[in-house]
Amino acid sequence: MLFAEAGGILSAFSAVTDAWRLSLSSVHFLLFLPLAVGVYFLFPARLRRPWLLIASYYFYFWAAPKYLPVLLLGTLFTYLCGRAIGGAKSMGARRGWVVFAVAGAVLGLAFFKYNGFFATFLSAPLHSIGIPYDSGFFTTAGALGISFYTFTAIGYLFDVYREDTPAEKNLLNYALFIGFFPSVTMGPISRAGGLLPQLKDDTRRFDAASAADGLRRMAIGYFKKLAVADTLAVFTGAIYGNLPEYQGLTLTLAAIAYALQLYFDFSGYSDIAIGTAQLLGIKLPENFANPYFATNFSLFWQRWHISLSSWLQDYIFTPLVWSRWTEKLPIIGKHVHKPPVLTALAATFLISGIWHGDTLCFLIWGALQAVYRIGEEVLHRTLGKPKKKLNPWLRAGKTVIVLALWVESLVFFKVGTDGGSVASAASALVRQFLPVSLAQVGQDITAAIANGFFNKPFMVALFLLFSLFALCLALWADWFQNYRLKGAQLSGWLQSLRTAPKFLLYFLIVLCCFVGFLAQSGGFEGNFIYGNI
Amino acid sequence: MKKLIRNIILLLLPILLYYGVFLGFVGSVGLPKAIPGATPVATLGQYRAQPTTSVILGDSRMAHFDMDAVERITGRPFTNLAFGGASLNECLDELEWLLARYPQLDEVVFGFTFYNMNQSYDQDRFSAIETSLYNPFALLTNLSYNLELLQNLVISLGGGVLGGGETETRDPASYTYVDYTDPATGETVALRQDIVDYMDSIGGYTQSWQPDTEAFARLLEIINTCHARGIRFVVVMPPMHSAVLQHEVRPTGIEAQMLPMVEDLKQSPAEVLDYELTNRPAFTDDQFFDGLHLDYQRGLPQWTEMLFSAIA
Repeated sequence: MLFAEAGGILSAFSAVTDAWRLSLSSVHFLLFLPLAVGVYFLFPARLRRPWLLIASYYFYFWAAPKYLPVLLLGTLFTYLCGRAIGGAKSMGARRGWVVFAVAGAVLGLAFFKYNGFFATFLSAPLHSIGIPYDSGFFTTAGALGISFYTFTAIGYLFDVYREDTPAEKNLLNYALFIGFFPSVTMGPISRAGGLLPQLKDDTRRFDAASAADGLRRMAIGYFKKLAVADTLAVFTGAIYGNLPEYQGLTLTLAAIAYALQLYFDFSGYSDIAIGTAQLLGIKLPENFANPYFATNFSLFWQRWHISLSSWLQDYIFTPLVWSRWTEKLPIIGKHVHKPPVLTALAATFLISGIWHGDTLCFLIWGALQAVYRIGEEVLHRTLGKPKKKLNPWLRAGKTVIVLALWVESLVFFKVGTDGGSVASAASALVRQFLPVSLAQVGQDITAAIANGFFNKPFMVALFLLFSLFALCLALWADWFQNYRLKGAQLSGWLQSLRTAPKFLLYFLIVLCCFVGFLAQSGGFEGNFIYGNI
Repeated sequence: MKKLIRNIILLLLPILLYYGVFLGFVGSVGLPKAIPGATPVATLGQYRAQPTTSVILGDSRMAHFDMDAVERITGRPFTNLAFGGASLNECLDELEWLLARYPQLDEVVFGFTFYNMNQSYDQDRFSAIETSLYNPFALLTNLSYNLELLQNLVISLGGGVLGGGETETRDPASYTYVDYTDPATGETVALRQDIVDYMDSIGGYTQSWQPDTEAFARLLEIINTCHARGIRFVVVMPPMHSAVLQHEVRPTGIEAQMLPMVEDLKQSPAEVLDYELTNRPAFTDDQFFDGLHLDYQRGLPQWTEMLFSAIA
């Protein structure tokens, strides 16, 4: 009876936390944010950081209640290790501490991120000794944001070890650095040298111009997420949910739609996160720079998920290249002295694949990125580096090839995200080349929207019109930012417009966001794609 | 700062106006009142405020009893938590939700029909309904409610009466009859045009019908759970127009596949009142509003009397 009552209370509590789930695109966030920012600037300087930490933990609690202890433990562990590294007297001791700290952080990440993978072979033996490994806490989706905040912490530990940054003595500052609410769930992955000094500065005053720019940035992010990515998700969700039923052009269109959905979802999230931090006067690192206009994979990875790519470069790739680890190998070590750049490149992309997910699909996705990048490197070495100024046709051709290869690799990524198998992804890739009539493609698209959105022809037509309009606007904006603004932020361009066109665009963005928001019923059932990473 | 706040309000004004109209035209001060009465969120909200020990669950065929009549016949209050379009799994989700929260529940009248036993009819909206119960913003942003309220707005602006869609009744003088040829037997009979149209509208559904065995197993399990907790469980199979049975349900093999399941239910601790297949009341053509629903004035009151007298 007691258990039944406790179960009832837990179930009611869980229903309330589910109903008020917090993410950067939830209604709850729109209520939370003005309070968090307003109180921050109203408070005297000495109370600002404690308030920001309370707000951050409040955010995380309502985003993923049961994983708050994991965040707290991870923070405490890496804080203590950072102090130990910073305080170590000898190089050997520093190295020992950093190895211990990073191993601990990686183990924590592995346990909470890959528990589903472990459960497949650990559940039976543990059951036999009475431990219910395959139930409750252990097999639920990985702890929210753990991939991001663990990488932030590991970066900090390496920086302290390399003496690029001093070990943070104040636990509150460090906890805020790891748990800062705009970036704790999905990045951008910040560096201690960039974020910690900003968080520690309590003397900032509210800057209306910067806040307005932050709001513009957020509005652009919401447009990308709600009006573009979430409407594309209706189509991709329906197709990838029943992959065996489709073939030919339908699958190709779904793959392209998913590539666009992923980009607008994650870059939209990044815009919201960066804009939110800007409201507090804090600058987070950029995460995207129009990657779909890159003419080669080297440039692509300098523009896609920049905070992760640069993290991988600084903490995996560069150490692998310069550590001269090959010299320590038996026999081979006597002959191979030159840093193995291509091997390091392959290892970095494979790690990136594993970081993104715990199934073979993600490993293959990572391997494909390695093949693309290494293939390109070999081509450049053989044929020479391409000219900086390309003629427009060659540039367009190269952009299309990079995009096509990326789109196809994402079939593994999407199937992996949905928990599908490599065979299923490979079959979806191959079946793109089977014939299908255009009429059938049209039927597939309308049926997918009817199933995923609303089963009435009028609503399907409205949805198609709206999603195509929003997508075209978003693609134009991306093109404009890349070629006309030369990568400068759209929010700055919006501000530079005259009042009438500026407000017309503002209203259009707000309207599209609202329609997108209603079309997905306020997002009470969905979330950002990288929230599952 | 002031300019910033002014601009934000200006930009959000259209949305604020929209919600002003949204709530205002209904003339209510509280959000739940702005939601049409027969929606699951509203009925579950009422149940949370005033829980009864007896409940009715099911789809639209169970959703429109005159509850005063039900109380008069049975001598006890029931709450009708059935809602239009409910799938079998949604009804079971709703019942599990009740079982987890209301230990005083002691009687469940559960609508079970061939229509919600279809494997492909796998609507799964209860978690969204539950979210709306705990967060009013989920209601404000729910697409279906927004569309429904906009539709009501258009009706009321056009001088129509709200709630008209819930009084499903037809004057027999308005009936037109056509010759209907059964595609299976080739036999031609005279049928009401609207019944023929209704059969056409569900034709694809009945052609692809497959029993949802997983949901049925779940139903049997929950019947046993209720039995173990001392809760009376009455399975009700609502009546359908004889033309639908003869020309759609029987030829497509649905009846043959449903009958063993009805037998399984009779073997379970549940009481089974089958008005759909095996114990069909002699309702006349004009007592049906359409192929599956009784006319609110000429059919439903009679069935309410019949059903709840049996339950009482």
